[in-house]
Amino acid sequence: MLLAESTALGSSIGAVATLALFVTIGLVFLFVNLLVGRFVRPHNPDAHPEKGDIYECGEPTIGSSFVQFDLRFYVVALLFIIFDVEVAFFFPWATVFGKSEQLSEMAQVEQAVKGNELSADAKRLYREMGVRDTSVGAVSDLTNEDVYTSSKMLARITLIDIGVFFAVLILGFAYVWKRGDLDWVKAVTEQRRLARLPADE
Amino acid sequence: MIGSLVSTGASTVTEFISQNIFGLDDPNWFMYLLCGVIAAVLVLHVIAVGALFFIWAERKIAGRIQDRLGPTRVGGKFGWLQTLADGVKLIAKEDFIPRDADAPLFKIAPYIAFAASFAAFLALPFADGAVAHHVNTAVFFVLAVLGLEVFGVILAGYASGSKWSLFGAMREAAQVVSYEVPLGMCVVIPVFVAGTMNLTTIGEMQAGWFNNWLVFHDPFTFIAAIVYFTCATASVNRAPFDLAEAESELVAGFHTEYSGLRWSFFFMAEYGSMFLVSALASILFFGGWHPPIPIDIWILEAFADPDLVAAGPLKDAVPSLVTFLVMLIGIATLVAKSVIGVVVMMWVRWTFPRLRIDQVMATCLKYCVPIAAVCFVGSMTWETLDLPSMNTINRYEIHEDWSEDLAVSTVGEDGVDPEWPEDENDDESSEVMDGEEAPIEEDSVAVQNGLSLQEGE
Amino acid sequence: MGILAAVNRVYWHEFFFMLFAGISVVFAVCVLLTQNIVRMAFYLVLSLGSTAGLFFLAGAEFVGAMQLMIYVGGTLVLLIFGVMLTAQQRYVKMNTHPTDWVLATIVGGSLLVLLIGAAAGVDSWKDASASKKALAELDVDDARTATPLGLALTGVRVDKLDSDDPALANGQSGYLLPFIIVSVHLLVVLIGAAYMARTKRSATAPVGRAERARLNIMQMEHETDDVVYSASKQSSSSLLDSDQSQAEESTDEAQE
Repeated sequence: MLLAESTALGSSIGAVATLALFVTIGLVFLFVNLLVGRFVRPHNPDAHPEKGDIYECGEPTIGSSFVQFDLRFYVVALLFIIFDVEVAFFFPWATVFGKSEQLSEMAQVEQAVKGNELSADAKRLYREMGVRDTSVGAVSDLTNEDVYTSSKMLARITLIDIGVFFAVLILGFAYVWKRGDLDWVKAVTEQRRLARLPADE
Repeated sequence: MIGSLVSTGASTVTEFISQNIFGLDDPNWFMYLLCGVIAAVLVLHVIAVGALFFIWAERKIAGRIQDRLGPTRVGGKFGWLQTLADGVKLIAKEDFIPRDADAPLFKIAPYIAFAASFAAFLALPFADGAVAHHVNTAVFFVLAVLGLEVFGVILAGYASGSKWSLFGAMREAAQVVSYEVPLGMCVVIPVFVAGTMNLTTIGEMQAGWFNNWLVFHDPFTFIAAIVYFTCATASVNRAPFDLAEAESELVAGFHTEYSGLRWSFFFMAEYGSMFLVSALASILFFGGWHPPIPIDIWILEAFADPDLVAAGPLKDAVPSLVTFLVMLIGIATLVAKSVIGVVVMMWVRWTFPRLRIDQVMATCLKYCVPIAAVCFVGSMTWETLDLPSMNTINRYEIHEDWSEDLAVSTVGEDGVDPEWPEDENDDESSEVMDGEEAPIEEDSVAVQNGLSLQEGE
Repeated sequence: MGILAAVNRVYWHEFFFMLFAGISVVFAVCVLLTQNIVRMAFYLVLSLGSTAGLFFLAGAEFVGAMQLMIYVGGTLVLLIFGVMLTAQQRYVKMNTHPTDWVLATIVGGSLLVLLIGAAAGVDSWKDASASKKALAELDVDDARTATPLGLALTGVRVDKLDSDDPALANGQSGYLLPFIIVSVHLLVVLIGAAYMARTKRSATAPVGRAERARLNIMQMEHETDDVVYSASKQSSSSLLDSDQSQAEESTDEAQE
């Protein structure tokens, strides 16, 4: 789209442009600082052969720094991914639930419908829910009661949906917890102590 | 929104600059870029200058907690120029890369950490209208972008080629990713109470007295706020959860091999993130840019009287000045609240002993996640059953910024007068109503696009 | 001002599309060409990150942020953990066998053909004015909210409400069933991951044979053996070990 057609850059372009701008400014800021430093700071990495060593508390370094890690880290990361996906699903749901609750609240205090028409606030709420044409499904004698019932129903439906969704995953969480997969060091502590016991006796 | 009672028509900092400084309503790409750069640099100061202040404050606070004085000499009485002196020293230090390091990644890592921390600020509103760009899903965006900071830390740890660094980085990764789960769950609670992910709208929904803050919505949001703050502390790697640095066992963790400026960038990113999560806490739970006592509303009320603003040469200037004043109060309030959050994090750091990694993980998986889940379900139930709440504001009167023009245009098509008679609103939220319902005559991006589209076809 | 006016006529949407698509493709190729596995992860971050940029450009801010959170933030951390778990030494090199290249070309090529075919099949993409119109609709802000997404997950597609098809208009076009299936799917993944981790743990027992025999009974009871770095030839692993034994000692002290 031409810029001339979209004032101040179109909204979706604006988001991307701002994102790109912020990342660029952040990178440039660091770069300029380092560039300024380049003229001030000393640079003699070969002053002493030990200077290039890795710091290991003053001792000569032993072995490669690349160590194999514990599987527990992997399980933690897997758990995180699963719950992160779940939390990401919560967000769009949360806006629907909140908006339908607000709509029902509005209908309860008789603000949603004025003169058999949706009030401006109610229209905006519907608009924010994504309903582009609020006249769809309009009835001639719309009352606050109707809006209350329908929005409360929608809120309850979303509640049940997310309840089932959440319950299924909490079930898995409880299972993993019960099996001890969430334990970190304690398991091995216990095990080592038990392993030591025969020797101690 | 309250700000739009006497709207300047600007909804972002970029637009504000272009309209009020350059006087352009329709900037060309160059001016738009210039305004954007100015806005971004303004936000950059929050991190850069903020880090200067916070590092000094941290040393002062740590000193006081440990019965010392902290920095006292540089810059006069309180040693307040100490960080600047440190900065000069850091610039003059050698930028050293160990022989075993993976040099390109070693150099890039601080850039990633910093850029992620900084980019998250683009969706953070400092007041109504004081935001770099309106992201409608701002809450989620901030969480997602902030989570990328961990990748810089992992790269730093890996690229250093040091065992300490690698251990620190791996721990950080495990810790940050696991704490993001309860963090997300706590953030969902204000989102469904407000019914939006738009941070500006969530902030506006807490206008008025402090009882309108979402933290007082129900007992569960109160607990959720505490859990959020705990998890936020962990996710920005602050003690008692600072496993990545772990000075007492891993030397300096992931930045053991870093020196000079490159090292300090990690700190800037860390302090930036601390500020960001505190600001997010203030917007989600603690009223955002609204002071506990509604000073901003009083000011708006005082100037809303049309008799007060006399006709004359300054007729138009006064309302926009009032808006500007209210915006400044808002920014000051939000910054103050965020600073309080950061100071609490410092207080916690210097008061509690460090946790071990198994304790950190147990805190997350066995305490924070279940508590957050209970708060989530509890708050949801509270909302469904319409149980009493301390919040008195009518949240349904406050909308996301974009729906304004669209709703008006829909109403206009139906041939109905968009302005409803406002007889029932005599409470304090009437300003909000005024601001909301008055159809703003300004040309918005959306409407113009719609029009240009129609003309084009 | 001549240049300014000229650049003012730049197609910004196309410009940003090209920019992000270019970054995405270039770094995807870099992933293929590099042999160091951690650098691969780094290039993948850039590639996936600019894909998120494309989502933002398409007005799908929520999906873009989700891409950042789950792919860039989460999956890559998982990937790096995977590397750290399996790698035997630093600078892990992945040497691709020629037959792998052939196989990969066949698989990748057929996917490409499929995608191009699918893209050519979308009617609205053939018509330039239709895509212009779609682009203009993008700038109506409601495209950027996630609420319709949430409603669709609940079972209502708000964009189909005025549809002529009664089944769609009645709100039977949502994704409620997939939504619930997703949760069950996630549950399966969760249990699978836990199971996998457990079997691997007992498969790589940490200690010598004599001790192992003694441990066997305990393993049956606890099944949460943790230490995989059986090869203790490197002092580094004993470092990690001491790290743990310290922790362990302090736990013991705490218990006593």
